[in-house]
Amino acid sequence: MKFILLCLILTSLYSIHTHAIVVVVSKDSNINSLTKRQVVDIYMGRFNTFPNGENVSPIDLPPQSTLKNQFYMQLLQKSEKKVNSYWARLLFSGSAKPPTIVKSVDDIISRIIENNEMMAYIPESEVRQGVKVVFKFVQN
Amino acid sequence: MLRGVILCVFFLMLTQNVYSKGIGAQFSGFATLGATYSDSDELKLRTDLLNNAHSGLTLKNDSNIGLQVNLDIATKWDAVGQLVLQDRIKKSAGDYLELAFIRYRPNRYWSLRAGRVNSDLYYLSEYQYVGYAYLWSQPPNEFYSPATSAANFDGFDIEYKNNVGDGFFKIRMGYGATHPELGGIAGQFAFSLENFSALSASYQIGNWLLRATHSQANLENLKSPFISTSVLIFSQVPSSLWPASLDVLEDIDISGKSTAYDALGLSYDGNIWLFHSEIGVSKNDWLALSSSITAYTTLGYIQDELTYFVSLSGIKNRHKLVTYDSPMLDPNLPVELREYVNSVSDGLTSLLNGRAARQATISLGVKYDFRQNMALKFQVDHSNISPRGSALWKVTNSSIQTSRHKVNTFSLSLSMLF
Repeated sequence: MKFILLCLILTSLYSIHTHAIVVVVSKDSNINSLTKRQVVDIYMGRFNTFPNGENVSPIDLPPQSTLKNQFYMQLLQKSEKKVNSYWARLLFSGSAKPPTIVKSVDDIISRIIENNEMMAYIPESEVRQGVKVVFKFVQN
Repeated sequence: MLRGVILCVFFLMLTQNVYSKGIGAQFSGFATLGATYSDSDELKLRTDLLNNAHSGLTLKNDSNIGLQVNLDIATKWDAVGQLVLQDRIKKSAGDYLELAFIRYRPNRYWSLRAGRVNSDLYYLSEYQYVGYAYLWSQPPNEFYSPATSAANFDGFDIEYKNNVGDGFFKIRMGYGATHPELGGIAGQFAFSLENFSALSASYQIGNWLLRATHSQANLENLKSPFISTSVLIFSQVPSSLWPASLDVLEDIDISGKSTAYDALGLSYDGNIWLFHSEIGVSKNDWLALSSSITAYTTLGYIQDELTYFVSLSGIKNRHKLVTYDSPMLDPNLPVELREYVNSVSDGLTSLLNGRAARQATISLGVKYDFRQNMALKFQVDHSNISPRGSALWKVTNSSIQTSRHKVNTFSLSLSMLF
C-alpha cells in the first residue's frame, strides 16, 4: 500500500514538472485543429503543407533544450539524436529542409503571430493572445 | 542532357511567371575524416567503384566533404545543389556534383524534379556520403561499392507520397542517363547508362521501413583503352587460329548490351535495436560486368551514446564464370604469330578472372554520437575473397586472381554536419 502511494506521489510530481505541450499556429490561420499524425507528417518533413494545402513552416527550438526533447519523445518516441540523424538523411538527400530553429518560446510566438505559415510547439502555459492551439498531447 | 533539362524547366518557370517571392538560399554541409588500414598489398581497398583504391594506412578511401545549397525559388518551386569532394577516379567538376535539380510540387502529394537527381535505388543511395546519417564507418562494400555507379542520373523523376493505412507510402519513377567512370578490371573504364529508368517504392510504418526498387539501362559509349585495344586485336586474329575469338568479339562489344538491377530492403530503426538488410540482384549481358547477387544484414544495439553493430555481407556471381577455349595453334606457325595470339588470350583470361565479385565480409563496429552534430565510428572488416572474385578490389598483380585471399580492414572516422 505504501509502495502504491509512493508511486502515485512520484507520478504526480513528474507530471507537475513535465510541461504540457501544445502545437500552435497564428490565430489568423485557417487551420483550427490537427491530428497527431498530421503533426508528425509536418515535423518529419513528409509534407510541406497543412492538410488544406496551405504552406507550412515548422519551427524548432535549439539542440538539447528540454522542451524540444519532450516534444519529440511525446510525438515520435524518439530521442533528439535519432531525430537529428533522420533530418540529416532528409536534408542531404534533397528531400526536405529541417524546421527553422529559433532561440526561445518568445521568439516562436513572435514568428507565429506575424506569419500564418508558421507552426510550433510551446508549453501550454505560454499560450497567449495571437496564437491558436491546434493540437494538444493527451496527458497519460 | 542535364543542361537541356534545366533550361527547359527554367523556361517553363518563366512562362508561368512564378517568381512571386524573393529567392531564399540555405547553405549546409557534411564531412567525414576517415582513416582506413587495409592489410593486403596485392588487393587495394576500393570503397566505391567510382573512387581510387588504396591499401595500407590512408585518409583517401573514406574522407569527403559535401556542400549543399537549398534554394526557395517560388511558391511550389525549389532547387537543390550538392557538391561532394572525394578521391574520384575522374576529376572533372561534373563528377563531384551529386545533386543539381529543380523541383516543382503542384500539391502535397506529388513532386517533379529535373536535373541531376538521386536514384533512390537502395537504402543509402540518397545520402551515402553523409557518414553522420548512418551506422557504419564503411557501408557493406559488397552491396554499396558497385551500386554507386547509378547513385544519381541526369534526367527527371516524379514522386507520389501519401499516408496509407497506418504507414507512409512513397513511390518514385525516374528516367535519364548517367556516365560513370569506374575502376576495376582492365584499369579505368567509362560508359554510359542510357535510357536509364528507375522505379522505387517504400512503405514506412512505425520503426519499420520496407523498400523495393527496379532499374534498367542500355550500355553505350564505352571508353576503355584496354578493351578497345583488345577488340582491335581480337578482330585481327583469324578465327581459324582461335575459333572462340568470334564469341569474345560479340560478348565484349558494348553496343546493344543492357543492365538491370532489382533490390529489396527492410530496416528497423528503434531506440534500442537497429536492423538493416538488403538484397540486390543485377543482370548484365556485357562481358566486362558480371551478373551478381549481393546482400547484407546488420544488427545494432544502442546503449546511451554508443551503438554497437555486427554486419554480414556477401556478393557472388549469378551464373557460371565465363571461360573461352584457348587458341590451339599449329606449332608450324611463325613464333611471332603464336606469341601474339597467346598474349591476346592471356589478356582475355586476366579480364575474365577479374570481372566477378565473389566474397563475404563480417564486420564489427561501434558508433559514438558524442555531439549533436558529430559522430565517431570504428569498424573492423574481415573479407574472404574467392578465386576469380576480386572485382571490388584493385589487383596489383593479375597472377593472384585465381587464388583465395583474406583481407582485414580497420576504419576510424569522424563524421560531422555543419
